[in-house]
Amino acid sequence: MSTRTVTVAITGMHCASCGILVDDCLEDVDGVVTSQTSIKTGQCVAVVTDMVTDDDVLAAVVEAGYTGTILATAAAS
Amino acid sequence: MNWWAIFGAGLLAGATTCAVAQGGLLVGLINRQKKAAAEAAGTRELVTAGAAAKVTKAAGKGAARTTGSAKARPAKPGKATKASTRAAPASASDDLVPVAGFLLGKLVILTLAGLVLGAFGSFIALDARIGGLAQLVAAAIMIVFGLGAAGVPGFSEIQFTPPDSWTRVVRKSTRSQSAFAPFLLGIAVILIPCGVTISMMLLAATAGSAVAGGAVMAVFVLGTAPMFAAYGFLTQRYINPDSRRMSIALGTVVVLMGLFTLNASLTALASPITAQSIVAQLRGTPAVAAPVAAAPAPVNGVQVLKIDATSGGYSPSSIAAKAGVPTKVVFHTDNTRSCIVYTVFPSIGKQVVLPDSGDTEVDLGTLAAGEIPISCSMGMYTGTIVVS
Repeated sequence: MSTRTVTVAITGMHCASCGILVDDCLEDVDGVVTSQTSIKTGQCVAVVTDMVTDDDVLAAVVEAGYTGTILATAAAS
Repeated sequence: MNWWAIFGAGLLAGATTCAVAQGGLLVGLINRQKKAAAEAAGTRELVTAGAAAKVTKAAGKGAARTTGSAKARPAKPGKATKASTRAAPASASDDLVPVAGFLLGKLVILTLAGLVLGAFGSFIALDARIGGLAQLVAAAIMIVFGLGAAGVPGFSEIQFTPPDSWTRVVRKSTRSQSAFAPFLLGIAVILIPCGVTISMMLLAATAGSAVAGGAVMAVFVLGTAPMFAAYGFLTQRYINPDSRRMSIALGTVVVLMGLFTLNASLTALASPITAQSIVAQLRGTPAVAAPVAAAPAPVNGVQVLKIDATSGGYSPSSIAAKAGVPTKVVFHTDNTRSCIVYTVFPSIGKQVVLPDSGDTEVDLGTLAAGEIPISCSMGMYTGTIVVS
């Protein structure tokens, strides 16, 4: 199954706990391989399979309590 | 120390900052464990059903009627859906145990941290000047984080970023299936403190003693407890009560604590500009009121000023002395347990460590006319010798 990388800009994060929570919520979604959120950049980079849409990624971010905007999506190397 | 302010900061932090995110992590952990337990139960029932079917086949029709377990419809194990584990059904009463475990872990580790920080801070404060400067730095950081918590542009972007290895520890603990996982998660969150938690740690470091430092952190964590108890009833869904007003209120409390610490450091450093001096100037009254106690008559050419150093301050708070006369101060302590036991005379560079109970004599030499401030090394309790 091919994967792609989705980069999301996230607003509303206060601290490291917020970043971990975003990753936690994303990795609970079936089809999300990994998620790495940086508090410094306010961005999350998620590696997802084809079964996950951009909307799924944004929904998980919203479920964590934040708002997200898709910045880029690319085939994973 | 204003314990209610610290508890209030905990209450607000529980509803607005990292505690909210930590609540989310806890909810995820609880529901993940429930899901795994449900799946395991489902698998067990399938195995039981399969075994029963074999028995039925072997024993014939009569036996088949007795295999009641086969009627049970096990939960479908295996592939997860896109729905998050956070939406898994939950029982409120079951959730309070892991929530209590998490809070206990957090209480234990942060209280220990407060004890260590309080001890370290009181050690630093043994040198009043270094202690005062350390307090100044702590106050500045608290004010910055307080403004950040309130969402002030330019400050809210300032965050403590823990090393990746630390965040990995926390992430791993949220995926644990151990019964102790909530407790361990509570311990692990010390690795990812938000600005408000760091501010409380600094407050603990400037509390004046190990016990006071531990108490600061314990009261703060207990303040966050009500919101976590709410999570216990609402783990079906992560709740985020974050609101702008609560964030502003929390930031204001932290900034006020920072300003209090700043004033304490200025007092400890014998700065001419303190909150007391500003208020006195605004009121047009002298910064130090007329001495409460009159100058004692010299005995054998030495005047001895007697001051009680209690856990709540100096009594009298101001005492008169005659200029040009050799002077000694005798501090009386009686079961005194606060930072007042580290007493300094910042303007003349003298300091003394008082015992819990007893009389301690400090020779001040011959004094010139003027005011000699006395304070604890943390600048929280003050007194004055008015020499004329």
